[in-house]
Amino acid sequence: MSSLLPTIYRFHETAWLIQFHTGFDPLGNRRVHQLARQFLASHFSYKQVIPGYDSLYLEFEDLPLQKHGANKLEAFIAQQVHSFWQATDNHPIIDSEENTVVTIPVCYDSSLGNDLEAMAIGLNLTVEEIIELHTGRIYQVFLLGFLPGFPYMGQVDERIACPRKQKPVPVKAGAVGIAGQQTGIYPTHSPGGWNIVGHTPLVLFNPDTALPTLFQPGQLVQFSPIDFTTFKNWPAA
Amino acid sequence: MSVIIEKAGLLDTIQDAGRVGWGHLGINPNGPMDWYAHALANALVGNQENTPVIELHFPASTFRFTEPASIALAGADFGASVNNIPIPVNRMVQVPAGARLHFSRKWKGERCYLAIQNGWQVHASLGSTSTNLKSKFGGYNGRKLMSGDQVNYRKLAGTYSNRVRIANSFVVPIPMRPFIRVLPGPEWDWLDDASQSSILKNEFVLSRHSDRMALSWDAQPLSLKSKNEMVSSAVTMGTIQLLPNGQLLTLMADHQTVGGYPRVLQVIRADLPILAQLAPGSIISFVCTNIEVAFREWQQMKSHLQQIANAVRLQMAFG
Repeated sequence: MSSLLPTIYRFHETAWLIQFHTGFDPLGNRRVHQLARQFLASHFSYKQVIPGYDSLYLEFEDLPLQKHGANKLEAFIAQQVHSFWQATDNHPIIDSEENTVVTIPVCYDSSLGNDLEAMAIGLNLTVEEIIELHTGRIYQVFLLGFLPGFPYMGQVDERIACPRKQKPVPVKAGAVGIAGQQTGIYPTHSPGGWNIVGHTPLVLFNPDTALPTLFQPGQLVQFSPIDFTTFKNWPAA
Repeated sequence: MSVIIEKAGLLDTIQDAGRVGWGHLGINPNGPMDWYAHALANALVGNQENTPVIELHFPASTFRFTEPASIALAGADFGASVNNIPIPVNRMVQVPAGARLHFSRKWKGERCYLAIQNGWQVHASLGSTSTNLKSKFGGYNGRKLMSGDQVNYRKLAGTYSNRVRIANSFVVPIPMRPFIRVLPGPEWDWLDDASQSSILKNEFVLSRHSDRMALSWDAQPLSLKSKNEMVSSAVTMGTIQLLPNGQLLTLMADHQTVGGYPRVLQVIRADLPILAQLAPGSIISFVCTNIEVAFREWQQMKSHLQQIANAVRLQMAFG
């Protein structure tokens, strides 16, 4: 855990950036989501709330009309952040939402096209070992970004961590990849630089539904291998 | 009623003010490149600010209106004419049934906004009619307009002339200037001293490799004090990132919600319209300002837009 206190930065005319300075630390990230929930439960309405690995962006439609309205709003934000930080420093809150683990089916079959063979050579593991390590732990959704519904999840086991490709290649919707110590899933066809390990038949983003994304920031996730037949016969959403 | 795209333009898309409130799910807002011209076009036909407008690049589409309509163009001047009668930007124009709107030449600016009274009638997706080209949703079927497309609009009440009628002018256009006012970004301090100094002294040339996602600049490379690791964090329109090659990238309307490059500067909202209208090859420099100036300038522009909208509605009410 960082010994630094969170800082608050006036990002632009109507936004502030709260920074925890905890880098990729999963516990720091959990606190980002807890703080986000605390703000969302307050009586303000926000134009945009964007969690990062260790930051929280709060944007308003406009600033309050009062004299020194910006300063007052910033003081409110600071007070919320500092009281939250103090309350959670030694005893992190365990939200009920944080206990549920979502299971994501992934087909690691080579017939779907993936990078497992190349990764096995580079990592000095067998394909089976990579799959075992990828499915063997519970991941945290650090944030959603890059594309609507794209989850940045981590941390993967060090033994299967590998850098992004030099040049992106076309990847299919549902492609599950690894970049560094992160694992993620492409919601749509896209150029992709992540190392693809498999594909999920689930739909990650549907703008025509009330809950347009499969993932939410802060969620816990585990991957479960399915065979090719199960993948092909997966019921459409 | 609808307007028919007789000949599609390079990149014409439906945009409202942007799809907000979904950033935490990675859903980026899209919306107009030039927020001011977008709002102005709407104001000139008596629409609310968040009404869908068609953003045009050049070459722009040729449009044929099946029924009479009240329209307005704002932003770039693309040499518009209706039934071969030249029409100015920044005015409400009434067009008769069958009118053909054509754009002949890029005189000034890069993005023009075509607003219609009561707005273009397009289904909202996640509360917005802005087009998300990358994920292919929103606006007109999640894509740019193509030949043969028909975009609906509401029939006007009352009777209308079968001639083109141009309303009086209310608007003083924003002057283009070669400097862009900026605030320091969250990672401004990561720049080494020489770079902090030169970023505010040097000239930046707008690269051809610029689009709705971002403006690329060519200039003397800049550098960081040390190799800090940047973890992904929120970005917005106007955020200026320092790329690994030492060049700057200014995020624009189709920016993603988070970025992994240091955010060294933030363009003030008031100056985003200038950026939106710059042609490749344009030379600018950055001038540092403070948040109070930024906020005040923005509020003044909003206030001005409100006055224009009120004047237009008054004119519409009393003829």
